[in-house]
Amino acid sequence: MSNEHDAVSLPSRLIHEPARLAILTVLSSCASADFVFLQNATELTKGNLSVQLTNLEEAGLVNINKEIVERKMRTTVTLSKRGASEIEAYWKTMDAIRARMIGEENQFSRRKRAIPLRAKSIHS
Amino acid sequence: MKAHATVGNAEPNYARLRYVTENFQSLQGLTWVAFGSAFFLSSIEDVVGQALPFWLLLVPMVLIFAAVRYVPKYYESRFGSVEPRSPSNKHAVIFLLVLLALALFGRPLGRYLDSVIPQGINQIHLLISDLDHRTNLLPVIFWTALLCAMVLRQSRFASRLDIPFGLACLLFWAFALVFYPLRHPDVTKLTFWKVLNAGWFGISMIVTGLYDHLTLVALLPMRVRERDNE
Repeated sequence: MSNEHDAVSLPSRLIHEPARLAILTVLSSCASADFVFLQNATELTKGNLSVQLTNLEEAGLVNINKEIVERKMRTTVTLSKRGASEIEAYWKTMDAIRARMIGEENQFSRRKRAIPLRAKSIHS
Repeated sequence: MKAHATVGNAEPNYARLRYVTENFQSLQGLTWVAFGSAFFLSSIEDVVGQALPFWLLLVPMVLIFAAVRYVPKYYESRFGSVEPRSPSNKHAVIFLLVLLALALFGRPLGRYLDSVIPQGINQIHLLISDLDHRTNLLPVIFWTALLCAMVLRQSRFASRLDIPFGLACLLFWAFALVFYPLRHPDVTKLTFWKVLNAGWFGISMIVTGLYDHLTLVALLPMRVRERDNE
């Protein structure tokens, strides 16, 4: 049993945080997204989103591009190659954990159902 | 549509994030509303029976201009912008395989369909051209095809959102344009029924556009204005 537990690797702490995971989920569903869209989708404050993006950029998971469009600064964020592979690995890990939890739950409920049957057979 | 948990409040709904990002362009429904309105106005001219006033003829042009010029700007300033992913190689391979299959088997398939389709077409044509009923089957066929596409979508989140809407539209058009006139042949004299019959495509575009826009607004709700110290 303990070997089975070891078989599923733990998800990355950097990605597992909900705000960063939300940002990476948005970016993995498109080629690039601008700051306004990310803010709308994740519903983070400007400051919080900015901090999370800086953390992700420092970790090499996203690329941030700033340009001036019609006299306004426009920030566009794309997922780096490393970011794309890490988010994919993250969801695979989570799926594996979920599948195992469902398996254990089924096993537990089967065992629970078996107990009264056995008790009944003893009485009869 | 109600499932918009936020990062700030609770665990975010990742299916919602994926859906809204992947479909951001197609959810910009006000463009469809403008084009649909223009289409509707131009299609009901025959039903009204008299020439429409000059200013009303200008409305479709104004709507199309607004759809092209201002609607994309509104969406960009309100919701931001997303560059969609380029279609994957999988789609290109499927497209090439279908093209190859058509090149190889297209002719024999066409010859077979030539003998089968006319029978079905005749039945449909009889229903459409029946002077007593004048049943228009096109909206029902259109919405059935759209509903099939919605059912076959891979995303469960998308299917859960779209199928009730598609089903409601299909039922509406089926009752309004097929079953009702079959039961009450006199309905063909009503102007309202004639307008529905002639402008079904424009109305469908308007309704679909409004539905897409409202879905986008519900999935990306307006942010609370941040205070200066945030």
